[in-house]
Amino acid sequence: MKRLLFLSILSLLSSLAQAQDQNSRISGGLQSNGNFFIADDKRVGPGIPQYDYQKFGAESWLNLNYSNWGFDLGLRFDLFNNSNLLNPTNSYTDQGIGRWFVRKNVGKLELEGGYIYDQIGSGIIYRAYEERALMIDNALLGVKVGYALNENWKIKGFTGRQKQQFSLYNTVIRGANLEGFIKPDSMKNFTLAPGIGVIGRTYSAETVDQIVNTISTYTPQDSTGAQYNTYAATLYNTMTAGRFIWFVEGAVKSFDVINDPNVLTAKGERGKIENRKGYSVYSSLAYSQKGLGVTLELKRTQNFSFRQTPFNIGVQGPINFLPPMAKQNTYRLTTRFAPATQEIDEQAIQIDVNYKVNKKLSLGFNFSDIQFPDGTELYREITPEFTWKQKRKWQLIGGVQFLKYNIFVYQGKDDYVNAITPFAEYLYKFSSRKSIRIEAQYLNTKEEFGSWVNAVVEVGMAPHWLIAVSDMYKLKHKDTEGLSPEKVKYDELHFPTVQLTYTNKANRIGLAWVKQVEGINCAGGICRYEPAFSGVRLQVSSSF
Amino acid sequence: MKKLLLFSGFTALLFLGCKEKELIIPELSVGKRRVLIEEMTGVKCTACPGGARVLTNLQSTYGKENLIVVSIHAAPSFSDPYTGPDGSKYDFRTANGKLLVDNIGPFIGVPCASIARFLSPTFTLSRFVVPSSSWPGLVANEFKKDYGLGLFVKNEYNPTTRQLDILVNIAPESTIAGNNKLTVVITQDSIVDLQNDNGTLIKEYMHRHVLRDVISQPTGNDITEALTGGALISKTFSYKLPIEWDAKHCSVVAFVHQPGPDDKIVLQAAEAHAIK
Repeated sequence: MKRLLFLSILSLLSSLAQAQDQNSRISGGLQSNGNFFIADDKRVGPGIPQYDYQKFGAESWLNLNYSNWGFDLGLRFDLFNNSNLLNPTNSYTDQGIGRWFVRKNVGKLELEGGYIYDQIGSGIIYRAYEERALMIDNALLGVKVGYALNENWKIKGFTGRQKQQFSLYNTVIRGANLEGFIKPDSMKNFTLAPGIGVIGRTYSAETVDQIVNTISTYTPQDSTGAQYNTYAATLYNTMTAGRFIWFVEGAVKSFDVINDPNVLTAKGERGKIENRKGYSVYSSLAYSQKGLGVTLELKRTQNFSFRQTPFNIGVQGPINFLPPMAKQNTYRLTTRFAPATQEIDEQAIQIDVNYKVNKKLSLGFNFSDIQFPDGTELYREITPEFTWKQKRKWQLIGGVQFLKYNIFVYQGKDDYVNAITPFAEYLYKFSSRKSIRIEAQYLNTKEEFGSWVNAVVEVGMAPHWLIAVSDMYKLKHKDTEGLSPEKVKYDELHFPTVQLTYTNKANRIGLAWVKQVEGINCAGGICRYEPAFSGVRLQVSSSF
Repeated sequence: MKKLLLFSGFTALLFLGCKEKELIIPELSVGKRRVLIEEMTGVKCTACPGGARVLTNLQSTYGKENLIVVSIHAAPSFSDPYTGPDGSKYDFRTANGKLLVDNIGPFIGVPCASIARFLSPTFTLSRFVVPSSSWPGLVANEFKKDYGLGLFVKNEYNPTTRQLDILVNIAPESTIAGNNKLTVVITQDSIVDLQNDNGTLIKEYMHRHVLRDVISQPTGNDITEALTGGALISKTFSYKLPIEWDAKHCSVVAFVHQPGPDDKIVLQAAEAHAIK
């Protein structure tokens, strides 16, 4: 059936392409990763099939979009061969149509069918999106109908089931959203962009059976209710007033059977499913003027896990997306301890300030603090930094990250990591085409594996070549007495990378020899553990 | 306003009839009775190994998790260790063990055992019952009783500090009247030492379920909270294991009992290894 569908759509696209007129548009893109796994007993743990015997893994996404006669058609072929994306310690192989869709505007009506990516507000109650690095692709296979009430107001409704690799979850989802834009004639530089949305989720009979069977093993003290349907609603608005932009969103969720990994059961075990109501409030206030930008973000979440089943954890089966509340760091060592968004309980604040002192000097400051409501510290980061630009010849960035990280909550080990990480980056332009970039960080901590240093040298020869050499090195503990073998296992080990990238217009080919330490990989506050990597990576991307 | 009404109407359609039939969730019974046997024994008690073998057989019948045994070396003179060059390596007597047995009942001979601290109409002299041949019947009787009380023990052991953190959760299924008490003890299994067995000194006798200490009050800690159905009462304890004790053979035994003096029945007991 799948093959028939694929052939039908392919032939349709083909015939459409042949019959294309001046209004038609065809576009697409390819992203391919090839991983050659090289066993390394010192850096990579045992039992990973790619290192033991498979030796090669690949992922590829090829998508094609065609527009004509008011229609938008899309098709994407996905391939995973011995891939470690789905489960970093295991292997996944499958291929097929990862996405197709048909979209058509009929007057004020917008119709869409197929695999649909969409979200309501900032995504707190619903977000269907793709994050390839974490293998998140929860497109809704269904139908969406939108209607433009006027040029500023639009209403939409949708229903379907979300995808799980090449199959579908059994949960049925339906939702509606009203969004608008208000610009009072009497007020200059003042606009409102309000929205309201609702989502309903119906568990399948199989899921409810599984929930009931699980709860029936609980003591009466731990027993909890359950239901097929859960509803969530959100209200949001973006207000722009002069130099201020204020976004606020508040969402509530009816009783939902969710997994709380931290709660203690009557039997003294940690973690159980519970039927709870939830809410989440997120707000950001930004102020900008020439040379100064300030952003303040606040968030409070309680019991807002919203998934395909309560047994989905980590990156599995998300229906919504809770905005992250930590600085989006870029350097290797400043990103080592990243906080995953806590769905059950979290309160967070983040302040980001950028100030341009003069043409050469800019200052930046970030403070983010994430806690459980009882005051248990989860994550605190303070990062002052500066940027010095010497005309267009060279640029120096420097700063230091002060970090407190609850590694027990985020990774289930030890207690807290307290780290101080100074960093620097120097960019020198020999000419408009040739440049060299050097960056270095020193992560100073006694916790986890101890202190690290990392350095990168990157030579750019625009527009085609980029060569980068880096090394992350684990400093030896001064005193290893009383330390566990796990804690000192990386002492004096190097994790080098040599990377060559060739770019020609919209085509990019990258080849890298990589030794990468284990750690947490995050995107948008959604994180997962990834084991160490040793091997060669080939990456090809192209758009047309 | 019109738009909001339109949205509300649209939403109402999507969520029409959101009230659904209530799901029936079977309720788990957590109060299944586990029976506690507090055996009074001694290294010089020649008949005690025979009593211990009776208990081992009973554990085979009912399961070790259902029939919990604590062996208390507090029998007058019988529990004194052998002295001299070939004497006992260990002295299993403890001050708290003595207080514990004093609270159960008088010593009338060995081998003796208290079966859930039940004062049998047949053996009215003491809750420590002699002879061992009477124990199976008393145990069977106790397993017929069910007080509907869930009791759970969860241990967290730090091998570096040898600190043992104990969580005891009391989970009644229905209301249990009375001023109940909680006693928590620590035992060590598989200790090899001298024992008089039927007149023969066995050098490598394996002592089972040896009471090492009483963590709560020997008479039990008062449970001040009401034992009402659905309530969860949590008690925590900390204990540092002495270096001489083998942590992997240590267990925590907790039990809820009536305070006496007339009724000292052990309503429920639970046992958990110090190390999983």
